Order: sequence, then structure tokens, then C-alpha cells
Amino acid sequence: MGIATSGGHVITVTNDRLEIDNQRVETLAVRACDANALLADPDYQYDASSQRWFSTILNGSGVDLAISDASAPDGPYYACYRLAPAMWDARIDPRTGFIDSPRLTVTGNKVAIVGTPINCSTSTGDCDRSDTLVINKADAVAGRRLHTATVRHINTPMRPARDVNGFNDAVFIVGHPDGAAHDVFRVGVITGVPGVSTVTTALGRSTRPSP
Amino acid sequence: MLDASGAILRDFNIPTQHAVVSMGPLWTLTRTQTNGIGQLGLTEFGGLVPTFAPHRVQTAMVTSPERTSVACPALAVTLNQDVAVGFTTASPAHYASAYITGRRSYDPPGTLRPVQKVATGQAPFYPLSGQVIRMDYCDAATTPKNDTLLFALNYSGRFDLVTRVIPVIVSQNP
Repeated sequence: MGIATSGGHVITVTNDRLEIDNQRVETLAVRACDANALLADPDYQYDASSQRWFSTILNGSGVDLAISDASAPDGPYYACYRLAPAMWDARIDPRTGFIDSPRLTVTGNKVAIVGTPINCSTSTGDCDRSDTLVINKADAVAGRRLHTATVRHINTPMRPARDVNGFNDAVFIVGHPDGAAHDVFRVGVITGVPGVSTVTTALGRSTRPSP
Repeated sequence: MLDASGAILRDFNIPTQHAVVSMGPLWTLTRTQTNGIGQLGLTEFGGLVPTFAPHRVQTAMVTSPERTSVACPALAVTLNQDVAVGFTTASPAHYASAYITGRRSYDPPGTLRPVQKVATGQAPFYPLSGQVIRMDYCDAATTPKNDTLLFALNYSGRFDLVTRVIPVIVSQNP
């Protein structure tokens, strides 16, 4: 389920249903590359700097990314990008693997989708607990071939921080390392732009609340 | 996921449920469930910009008001660091209902205001046979004017699980 607003409009998405301003408009199939696949885990964000709506949805095994070509929430949208699971983790079994619970965030120059790879090949070991696919936002807004990079979070299920009003270029992520107590956090930052500059990650030290 | 009695059995097993960065600070919402009682932790981190050296600023906790399980929490933040938290609770004796709490930027650190019920469950929820109702995550958003926080929350309606948009208007006054 997701909700996003431009101020003038509100979009809510639940499973495969999309509503604009509290009125059911359509199924999310129109935002998906393959409307016949199983659609789930939609997410939406309005990016004030580009005045575009960004949407992601789990479509079978991969994640579909669509971007509006204007500030109107009902489109039209660019032909969606089909993002294969191997873009997050190359070890995913192509027959059974998928990216669970993809979460979207859009910053000044990047689109980041954090997801949980499911079903890696038994010969390659367990999947990472989460991975971030970083996308050059200018590519996506222009509708051209995407430059991407992958950031792995091997033993930490991460969530991206949604950026209020697009203040930052960086992507901030936060999670709990596996096996750590729930009051131990790992905070990270992803900088750089795929195709323009090197994408790097810095992780803060695990931070436990003071007594 | 809800079972036929309306109890929340399971949702996404990641303790970090939601995160928002607003200007400098990063806010994150975590969830734990112990003996069927859900608890949310709202934590603020500073030190992200201009130099990345994150540190915890404060944590505020809220326990399920009905002492039931908690699912689908979300948070939204204004640029002034006013924060609202929304979530859904349910148990076999308690239909899935939606709640809101929050804090103003000038409230004492580590505190949240009293929880308010914003949508009351009206019936047990019975998933259709074979239908998987997932509550992996809920969501919230901040309007560009930073005067309203919007939540998409679930509760059990008379005939189905309902998603309702709940606006939280941030007044200029305390």
C-alpha cells in the first residue's frame, strides 16, 4: 500500500488498485509492463523537483517502474521500465526468485528501490537480506535507457527513507542487522549517480540508544 | 495477514517498518511484538548532513492501546519536525482498527501524545478462501505546504478490509 500527494492530488495504491483523490480510477495494470502478471506491493511518490509521479509495483518476479510525463496524476506515463530481479541480486533463481516488498524513494538526482531478494540459487548461497537498486533519475524522467547501480545490504534488511520535499541528493537507508537487538540500528547513505559518478555507500556505526 | 477471527497473524518480518528524512533529521519507525502485544518505537537520528556521522537523538515508544498486535505502521514528518504515526491493531476480540499518535517539534524528547482511534473496526475480517491479504506496509505522505500529513491505514469494514485516507492537519498553534 502506498500514498503520495502533490498537494493538489492524492494517490493511494493498494495491491493492484489505484485511487486518485479518493475515487477509484483504474487498476494498476495500466502502470505495469505485463498486466497479466501478479501485481503486488505498489508504491508511489510525487517528486516536487521534477513534478512527476513515480510508481513501482512487484510484477511477477521483477519490479516495474513508471514515471508520469507531466504533473497530472492520471498520466500519461512513460512506457514502464521492467527491472529484472537479477538487477538487485544476480544470484536470484530466474525461475522462482523475485524481489519482495520493493520500496521507492526519489531524491534530487536518484531513484532508489530497496527490495528483498527471494530464492537465490542453492549453489550460490542465501540471498542478501536486502539490496538497493539505484537509478539515474534524469534517465528515468527523460524516458531513456537507465543507468543503474546495485548496493548490497548482505545481512541487514534495510528501508529507504522517504525524502520530504526532496531536500537531499543522497539516499538514506536504515535497518537492523540480523541477530542484533531491535534497538540497534544501522544507518547508511548512498551517494553518486549511476552513469555520472561512482555510487558509494557509507554505513554509520550501529547505534544503540543511550540509557 | 489476518485470520478469520480478525487476529493479525503476521506481516512483514522486518523490524524497521518505515523511515523518512526531513531536511536534516531521519526518523524511523520500528515494531516489536511480545506475547501478542505490539509496540512501536519512533527514533530520530541526527548527524546525516553535511558530514555523515549518524547518532541517535531520541526514541519514543507507544504500546498498542488495546494491548493487541500492531501491523502496518507508518510515519510522516513536516519540515518543522512535527511527526505523526499511524498504525492498525487487531486481536481475536478486537476488530482491526486504525490509530494515530504523534509529537510536535517542541514536545519533550522521547514523548508521544495520547493515541487516538481514527477508524473503528466494524466486523471480523474473513479473507476469501485462498486469498492472501498482505499488510507488508502502510504509508504516509507530507503535503508540499507541510501543513497536512496523510495516512493510508487499514481497518475492518462491514464487508471487507478497508483502506482509509486519514489527514492529520498540523496547526500553527500547539
